[in-house]
Amino acid sequence: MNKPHFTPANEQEARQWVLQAHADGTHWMPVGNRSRPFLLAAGYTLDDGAGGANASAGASASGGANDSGATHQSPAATISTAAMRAIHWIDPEDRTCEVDAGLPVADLATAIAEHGLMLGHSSLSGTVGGLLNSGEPSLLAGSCGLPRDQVLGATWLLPDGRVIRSGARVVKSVAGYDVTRLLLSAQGQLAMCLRLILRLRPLPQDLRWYRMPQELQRPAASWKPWCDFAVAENRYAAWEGCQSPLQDAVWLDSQPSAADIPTADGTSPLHQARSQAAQAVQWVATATPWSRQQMRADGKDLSACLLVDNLGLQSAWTRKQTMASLPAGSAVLPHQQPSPWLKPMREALLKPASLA
Amino acid sequence: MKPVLAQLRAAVGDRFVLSNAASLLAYESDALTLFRCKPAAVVLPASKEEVVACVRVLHQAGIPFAARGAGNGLSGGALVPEGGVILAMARMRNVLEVNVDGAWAKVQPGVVNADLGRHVAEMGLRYAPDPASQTVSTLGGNAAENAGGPQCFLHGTTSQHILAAEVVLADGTMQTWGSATPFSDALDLRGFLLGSEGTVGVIVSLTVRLIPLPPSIVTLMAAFDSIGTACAAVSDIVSAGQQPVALEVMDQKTIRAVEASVYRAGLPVDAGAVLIVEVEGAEERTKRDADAIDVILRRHDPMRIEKAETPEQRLAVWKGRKGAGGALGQLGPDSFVMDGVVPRSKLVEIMDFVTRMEQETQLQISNLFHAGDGNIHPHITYDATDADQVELVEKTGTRILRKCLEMGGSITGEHGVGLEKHHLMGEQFSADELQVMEALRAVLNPHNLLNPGRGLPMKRGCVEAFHRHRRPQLAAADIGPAGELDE
Repeated sequence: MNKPHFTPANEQEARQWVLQAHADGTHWMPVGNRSRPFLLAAGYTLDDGAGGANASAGASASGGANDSGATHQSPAATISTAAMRAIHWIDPEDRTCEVDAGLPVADLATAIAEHGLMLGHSSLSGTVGGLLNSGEPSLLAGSCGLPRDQVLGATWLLPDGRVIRSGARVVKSVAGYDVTRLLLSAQGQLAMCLRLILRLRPLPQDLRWYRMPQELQRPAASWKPWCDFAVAENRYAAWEGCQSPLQDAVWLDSQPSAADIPTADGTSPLHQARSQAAQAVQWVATATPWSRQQMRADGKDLSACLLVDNLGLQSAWTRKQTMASLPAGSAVLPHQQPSPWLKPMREALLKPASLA
Repeated sequence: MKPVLAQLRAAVGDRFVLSNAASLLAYESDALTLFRCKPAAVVLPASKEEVVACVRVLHQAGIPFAARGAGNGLSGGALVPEGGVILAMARMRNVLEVNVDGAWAKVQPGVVNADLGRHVAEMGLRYAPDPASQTVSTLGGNAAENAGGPQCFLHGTTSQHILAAEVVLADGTMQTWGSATPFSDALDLRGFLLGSEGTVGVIVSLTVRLIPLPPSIVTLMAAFDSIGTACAAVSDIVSAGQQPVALEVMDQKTIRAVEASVYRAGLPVDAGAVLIVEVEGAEERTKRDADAIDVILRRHDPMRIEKAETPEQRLAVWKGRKGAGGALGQLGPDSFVMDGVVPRSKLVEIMDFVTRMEQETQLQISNLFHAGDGNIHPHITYDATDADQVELVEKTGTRILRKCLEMGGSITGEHGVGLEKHHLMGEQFSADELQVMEALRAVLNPHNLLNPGRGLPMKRGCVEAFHRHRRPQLAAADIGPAGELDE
């Protein structure tokens, strides 16, 4: 019998454990360091209260939890990637790297910063696998895209113990299906993520966070022309344990000026928003920036945010729902019905008898 | 049961079902003319409801079918095996909605990429992916192949810019995957659809992400003595932490072909290679970045550097680059445009290999590539009436792609696997990996009626069904009022 909570030291141990779970018919779930609440979003109940369990990767064996539309059950066993945290390689010239899913995001950030690189995601918490399985947008979403856009390839442990790779180690590959995005989006319900190949970005020359005064918050709410992720901040707030009224912030990569905002005549919402954004940027020009540490510490107050990225493009996201709308003392996220395709796909991932 | 053709005519109207041999000729290949196969019929639905009706008919009859956009794909993606039917999206070309506040647009699959760009430009927005074919290629086709383009170096490929898709599955059921607000816990079937080469579903609408037009753009054109020098300059620009929108290289043969064509852009015909670098953003920033890049370029002894600052100058440079494929087509009777990827640091090495292949085979190979992405496009000029040469072209292509794999790359960066490269999938992926792809595809397209044989290795004999290398020969007997489906 398997241990119900196992932290393998390496891929071989992980594979042995999963093969045993497969043989026993145990329903299992991969986790990282349990810092993210995304299992909850998939409908799992959480026994240990606040904080949230969350998978860094994962797979459930046959007979798994989320049958379409059915009630959910907690997995009988979990396997954690937390002890697998190697950086396999960093290629500064190609701006790519391959790391274990259990590598802490902060450790990754430190290692790649030495090469003048960063991940296109602003979070520094949890494991790389957990972050990129979550699909959680970040302050960099406007310029760098969503978390899954940062992943070029991955290595997976399937519920039947097979290990496969997906994607490639180059920044562009359309050979075969995009298995990477599909398995990542299943948040541990189809396969356990072992390794990730990541696309990296140059660190902006100068990063600053600003806390924006109250009076500029209303204009911020109208910056929707640059709003990529209107629903993001609810999740973001949940991660950060945020429960308080929120302030706005601006992140700039260099000394800002009104010229950073495109101007044009006219009265369309876009043009109005631009002039309002220009006001905010003028304010920023005279304000004192936060340190990244302050941002991390005070980021709990963050809801609406304007990001002026290193292209001069703007991206804002605004808070639509607050944590106050959630049940008191709960980190439970809005429930979504699991995809009806999850179950047939899980079955499809088991090796057919003819090949066994 | 009424004959299938009659049912299709009932679904879309008599005029919009083509079945005589002359009309079908145009649909027997895409821009990869190595593969040809005339469909039994071509249907032109005008709405998603009509697509559903057609798909139901074909599903019931067990007839293979595929969606087709502009038919300018480069991997044989929009061909059906004999007896199959093509759903041409030429009548579904409306921009359904533009949401300026939300920065997205909902379009039908037949909308041409550049037409959407023009449509949203007046609202200060743009659709970023810009395949060289953007003036003719459709967004449905771009989505099916997960198309790239020069600007994808910065902005990412098509899959980063499609927020949602409405899809008709092989059995006629309609699905909506993704949403205009791109964050969701749902299984990312949208991601699985993009780049699936038409084998997962027929796309009937797309919700695409729009981004603001940049306030300023600077385009630099640097001429170097060789491809190697141009690639070294690219490496230095990237190592310096610069983040241009595009880094494009053309070799001397390409430059000369462009300058001899209607795409003439005033490029230096004596240069060994030309590098195009484009930066965008706020004016201060583009100036700062362009100046920094200019300094880097000068370290590599350029023959000349030009800065395009007016929109006219800029468009001329891009007209040359984007017309290069067409210009190269004039070098000989037939063209084979390849697509492979290597890590950017291996660009010089792969280009050396391509040059060696050219010397060894005596084939004419021209090069243009997305240097920032390590995405190469050797362009082989050949004569399809010479069977030996055709075989040599295919073998050469395979050897170049094998070299890409050896260097840790991929057999395709943006054109797709199609009919051209399925034999190499087993070299890029393990048997288990291919089995998993096949099994996942079978969940969504269980009977393999939708664009069969695309993207994954085919069983022996299936490829031959696509009548390779047959040049179009229109015999009088081929021309008749009806196809086989009527019989």
